[in-house]
Amino acid sequence: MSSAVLTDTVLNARAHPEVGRITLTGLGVRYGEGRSRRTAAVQEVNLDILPGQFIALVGPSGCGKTTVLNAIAGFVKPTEGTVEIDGERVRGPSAQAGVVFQQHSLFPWMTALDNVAFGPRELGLPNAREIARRHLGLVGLGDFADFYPATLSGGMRQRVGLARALATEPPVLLMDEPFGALDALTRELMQELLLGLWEKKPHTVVFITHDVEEAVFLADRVVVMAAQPGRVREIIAVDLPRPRSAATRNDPRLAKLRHDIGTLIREESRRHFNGGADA
Amino acid sequence: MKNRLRSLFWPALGLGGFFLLWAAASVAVNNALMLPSPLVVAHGFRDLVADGSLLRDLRASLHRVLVGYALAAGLAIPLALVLAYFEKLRRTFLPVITLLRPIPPIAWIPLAILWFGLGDKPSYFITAVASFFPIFINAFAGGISVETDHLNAARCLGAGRWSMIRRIYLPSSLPQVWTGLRIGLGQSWMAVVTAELIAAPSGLGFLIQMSRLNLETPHVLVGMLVIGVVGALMTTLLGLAERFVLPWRRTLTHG
Repeated sequence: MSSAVLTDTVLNARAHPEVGRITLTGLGVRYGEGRSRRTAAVQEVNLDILPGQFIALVGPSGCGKTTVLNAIAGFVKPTEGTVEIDGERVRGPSAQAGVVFQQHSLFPWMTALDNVAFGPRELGLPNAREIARRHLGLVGLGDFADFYPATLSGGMRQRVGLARALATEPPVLLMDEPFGALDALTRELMQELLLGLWEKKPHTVVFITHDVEEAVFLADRVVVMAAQPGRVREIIAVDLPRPRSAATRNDPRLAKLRHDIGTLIREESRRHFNGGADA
Repeated sequence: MKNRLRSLFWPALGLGGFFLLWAAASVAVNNALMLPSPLVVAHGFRDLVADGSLLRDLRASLHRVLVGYALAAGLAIPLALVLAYFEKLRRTFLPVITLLRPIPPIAWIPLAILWFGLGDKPSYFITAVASFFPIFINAFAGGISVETDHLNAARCLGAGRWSMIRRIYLPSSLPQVWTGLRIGLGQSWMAVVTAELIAAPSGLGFLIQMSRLNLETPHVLVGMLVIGVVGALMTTLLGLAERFVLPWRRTLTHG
């Protein structure tokens, strides 16, 4: 009885983690040098992402989605405003945020297992290999530990990438179109795998995608961005129940949200496109 | 087994054709001084093996190549990687490399003789010069082509500066370092002959030069063929070693 209660408490604590809050305040990033050529990639981005929340970033190309993600990861420095994780200013890349990249980011000279064990080893954990083995198991690749990335399929590589990012148990998980290069079926399976892992252990996730359906299916909130300069256009709450599964894809609410958000993005793209033609 | 035999058919056809053509040409020329037949060259080979001089020359040449090549690799790889890593050093030293690189090894021979006299030392120098640049250029290219995603991934997995160098920079540049080492060995091998033609009292190049002066054309050809065979063996051995040096590329290597 008491152990059941304890388990329940633990689960609850996990379902409402206390770490992983991301706060963007007046974030602006400009690229390039010299005064005249400094164009803003993003401007005045304010976002408060609660611990354990799943956020999707969508928007027309050139709207600065990746810049926002890179600023949270510490890969680029804000030129204005601040990025904070749990109240602490992000000053560079750290193990605070795990990143899953678009593709080709696995270390090709390491086996799948060594890729996943990289983070735990760098953090000095004594049982890095066991941790890595467990995380490979979580993404269903327990049998592929000794395979080099070049011998794995695209979907398998992204699963290793996911396992690698999760192995250090970062409070924040940043994903930059991680499934963009995969075929439709593999992509759907990856989405379900990701949700399964996240529901067990909800990191705060910021997920960039071009695919509106993917955004709606995965996220608690979809942040729609606009281009030139990159900024937040609208934040849309997704009220689909959790846990979500393949069946959720047939939910009429999903279809409606996908339609509304799609319309919004198309509007933005068109405005941007025409604006570009006039200029 | 059958497949293996079959895969040998075309190379055997090519090589057999080459020797037949050579034999036919030597019959047509009909002058052993201008072009001795393969058979005459084979006799010359037998004589040179019998009196031990061929083995002595081969050993001398190999020794010089290995010393010069090791010196070049030992200098070029660290220098290339350091220059690739530190931008200011790169800007400072790269122009010097760019200036020296077009100078062919043979143009260094006069200086090599002035500095080191005759014998092994100028040959070490020339073989080192010959392989330094291909090794350097490739290692440098490997050093600067480290992928940003790999660096970023490593950083957000908590890697410190030393780990970045040892576990990301070095293995990431290794394929190109290896390419440089392969090309460099061939260059050294070719250069040793050049050096010995002029600046050494032994070696395969010396054998060729002496035989030319004695009008022993069959021995000239023995020297040339041995150089060719040894060079080809080196290439093959390095190709075989690749799967141990770059195991993650096993599936991508051919032949």
